[in-house]
Amino acid sequence: MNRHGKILLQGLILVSTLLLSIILFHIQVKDNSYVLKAERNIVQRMVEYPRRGFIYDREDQILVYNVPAFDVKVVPQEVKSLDTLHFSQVFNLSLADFRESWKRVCSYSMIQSSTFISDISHEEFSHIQDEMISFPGFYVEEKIIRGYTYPFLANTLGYVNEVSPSQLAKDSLRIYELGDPIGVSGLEEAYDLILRGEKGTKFRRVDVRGKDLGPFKQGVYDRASKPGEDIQITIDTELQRYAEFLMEGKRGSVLAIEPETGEILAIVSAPSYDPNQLSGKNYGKYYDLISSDSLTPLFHRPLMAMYRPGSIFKVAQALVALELGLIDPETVFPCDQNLIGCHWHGLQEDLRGAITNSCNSYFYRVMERYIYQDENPDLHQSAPKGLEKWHKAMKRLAFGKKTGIDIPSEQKGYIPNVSYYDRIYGQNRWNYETIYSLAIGEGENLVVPLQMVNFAAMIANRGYYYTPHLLRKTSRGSKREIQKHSIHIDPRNVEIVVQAMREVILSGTGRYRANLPDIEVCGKTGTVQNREGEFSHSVFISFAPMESPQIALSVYVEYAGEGARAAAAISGLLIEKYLKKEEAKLYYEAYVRNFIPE
Amino acid sequence: MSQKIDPWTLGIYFLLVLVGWALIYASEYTEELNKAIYDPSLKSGKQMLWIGLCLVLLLLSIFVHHRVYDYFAYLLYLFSIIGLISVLFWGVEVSGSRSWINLGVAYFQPSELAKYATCLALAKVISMPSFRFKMSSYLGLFLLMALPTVLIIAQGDVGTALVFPAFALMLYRGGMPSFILFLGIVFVVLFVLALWFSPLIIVTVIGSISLFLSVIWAKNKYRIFFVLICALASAGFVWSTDYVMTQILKPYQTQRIQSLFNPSADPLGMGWNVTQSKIAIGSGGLVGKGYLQGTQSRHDFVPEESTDFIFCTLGEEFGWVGTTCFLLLFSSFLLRLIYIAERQRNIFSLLYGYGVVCIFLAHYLINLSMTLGFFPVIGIPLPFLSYGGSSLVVFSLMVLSLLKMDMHRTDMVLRI
Repeated sequence: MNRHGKILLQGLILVSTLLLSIILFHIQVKDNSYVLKAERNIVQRMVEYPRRGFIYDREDQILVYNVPAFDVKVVPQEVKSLDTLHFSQVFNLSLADFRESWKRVCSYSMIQSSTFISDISHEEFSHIQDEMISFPGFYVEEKIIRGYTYPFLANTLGYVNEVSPSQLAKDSLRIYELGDPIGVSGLEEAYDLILRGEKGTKFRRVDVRGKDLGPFKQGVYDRASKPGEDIQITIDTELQRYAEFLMEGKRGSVLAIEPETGEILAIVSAPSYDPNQLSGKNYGKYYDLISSDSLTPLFHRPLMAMYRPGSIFKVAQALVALELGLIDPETVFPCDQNLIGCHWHGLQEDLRGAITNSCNSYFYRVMERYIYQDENPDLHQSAPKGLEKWHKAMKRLAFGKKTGIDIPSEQKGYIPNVSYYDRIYGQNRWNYETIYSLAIGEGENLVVPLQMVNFAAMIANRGYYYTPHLLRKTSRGSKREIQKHSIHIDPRNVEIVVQAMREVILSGTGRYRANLPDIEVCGKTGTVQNREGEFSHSVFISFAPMESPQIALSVYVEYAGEGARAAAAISGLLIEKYLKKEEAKLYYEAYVRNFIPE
Repeated sequence: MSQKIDPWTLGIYFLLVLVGWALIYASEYTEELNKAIYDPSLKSGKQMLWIGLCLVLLLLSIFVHHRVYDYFAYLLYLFSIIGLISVLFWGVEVSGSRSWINLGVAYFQPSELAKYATCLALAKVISMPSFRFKMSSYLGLFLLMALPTVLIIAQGDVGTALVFPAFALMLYRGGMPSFILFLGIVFVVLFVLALWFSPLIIVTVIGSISLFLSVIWAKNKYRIFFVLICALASAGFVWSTDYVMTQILKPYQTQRIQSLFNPSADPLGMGWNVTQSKIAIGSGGLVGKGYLQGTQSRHDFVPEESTDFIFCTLGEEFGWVGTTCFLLLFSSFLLRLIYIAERQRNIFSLLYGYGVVCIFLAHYLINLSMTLGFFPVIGIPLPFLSYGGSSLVVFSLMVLSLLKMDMHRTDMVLRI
């Protein structure tokens, strides 16, 4: 028998009890962090997402709205006797997909819920709803996604997605949080702050499975959400729909604008995609599909496609030369095929005839006068000065810079300047002979369709334009001031050009397909050359009626040949449709629909 | 000539059982739960039935003859071993361990009974007049302890198996030489070290220490021989520990042991239990949130909050004052049991009393260390507080048997 055993055991009991009490004192009384951690455990901050603002067209017809979608969430630990096959059939999943998702949620947590399947549509959910009872551990959470009335305008409207980490990093004002929806392109991006509203927060007490146990401290910390504002945009849905119809199967763009206000009436980028497909569960697959499409449906042509301006640029040359008095309407130049190639028309032309027949030699001479206007005998000295002035004049016509339209990713186009040629040819190593193709809209010029419609609008207005825009008003009336820009050209000079553009329709290149019986259309064709063996791009700008114009257009049909064909016909149809509504006769509709470039 | 039953032990015993009952109710209680503590659909309601059974046992143990424990010690041991074996074949598996046997009316854990039976059997062996501590008797004692331990490990219930080494203290009181106890402690330390470090490191350290000792004791061949034997044994032990960890233990147990070293690295995985249990206890503060006012243990943030982690409910709702009161209550209970054991006049009762103290102490230390994150989460109840019929009944039986022996301490025939 060993008496030490008693002391050893007693000592062990006393020492360990003292030690445990000290440790508990440290954890429970001294260390306050556990109180906070416990609160974080039971208080869940729940975000209440506001209703995102709707988008209406100019007739108050709804274009973009919200639809409910459903996420299936799961708490793996609560899943009991799951019939995998039945589950996969109900949710239309492959077994491989099921296993992958199951692995993902289990690796996240066995006892906290995570999303198993996301974005089930309302219709699909109505079939699944009754089956949910046979899958314990699975829950449904409702959320809101975007719905679109029409399958067009996708690039202009943009889409909504969950905010990405890179967007969060850029967000210096800390407006967004992980999981927030954010407008990704088009109007959704441009007016995200108006459309999104303000998030609300609710603090709820929860158990470990996230089950709601009621408000935390009677909701004193809660904040209600504030719905987003609706916006009305300038689009005329009827015109848009008709333009989309005409552009079916073609590549290019249509822009229609109200010259008096700068409001965009229609904006077509062809081909495009169905915005409904990009909202909800098909997002990933559909995005991959359209982003790898060789016809680039995600490329917003009206704002981003850059083309050489072609013959339409001659109108701009006429305007700036008239303003400086370098020519007058009676100025005549012979059509000299040795100077520059030209179509076969009269032997010599005045200004009106030159525009009507799109005479290359005439504008060769006009530009020559412009470039050598200081009459310095050293042409290498004179050319840079002339080009400098010309560059500024083109900028005044809003070429080579952004118009400032209220949706993102607009391109600037390009108007070459002195330093550009100095860099290519060397200082004093170039003169007009080197750069003359600028005169007829070829050479290094680049414009985007939006600049062309804006150009048509400034001629229609006889010398000014409003920044092209899409937003008309917001539901709480925060109206944006639209800037008016003058192009600093005498309205009388613009009128001369207008007359010439009318003549284009009456007797020139536009007479076949854009000449409407009782509407005075003004226009100008353009044929943008492509590489040898490829069809040219067909381009047409126009406005109507000649007096007090209500619509201006630019139409681009890629690889469709001369501007006088597809683009002119489409413009004519759209003008008639817009001005005559139901009475429009639309003679050339079949021609456009069945169009094959010659 | 019988004495009266010890009121102190009985009083603290009932107090602990009632505290446990109240905490089991608290761990399940929610505001919407419109059920009383005795509602049979609740764990607290079921526990009440078990408490009732314990009262019956109390009466039985008073009326039964006081020598039955002595007489039937081996038989009970045999019976529990049969139970442990049969559970391997017909047992019901619950959360990773196959320890329950279906008795029709309730589930029972033979491993709980095995602790009691082994305690009685060991006391009986040592109290035999012919018993001496020598090599052959060590082997017998070792087998007596090892047989249930191995069977319980085979069930996958490492927690309960860890209680059996505690009988070493009982044997020490019974006259086992202190160097054997020392050796046992060394092995325990080595075991813990083997969990922390790779076996290669430990063996290198052991090797260098023995080399150092051999150099110092270069002239004494016997000492060098002894050092070498010790070094080899330790190395073998460390390696076998590693083997047990990686080969024999279930993955969930290995994970639990590993999560002990860094519970915060994986807060939703295996470390979750420990992290949440500390949050629950720590959020109690000085006086706690009040009975039925806890937020962590009640809303399932602490897993198994009514069984192994019942201490969390206590810590959260009664704070440091509550936990320290419990520690004082429980340790005074153990000290009282030692006092009772010491006043026995026969070796069997004395050693049995020590065995009971060893079992309770092992449960107390392992459970609290586990709850506070100092020991792997291995699933071992806190005596009298944790929910569970088998454990409550067997723990009560241990105490009541001792009290019965104590009542008859004067009329026992001395056998020495």
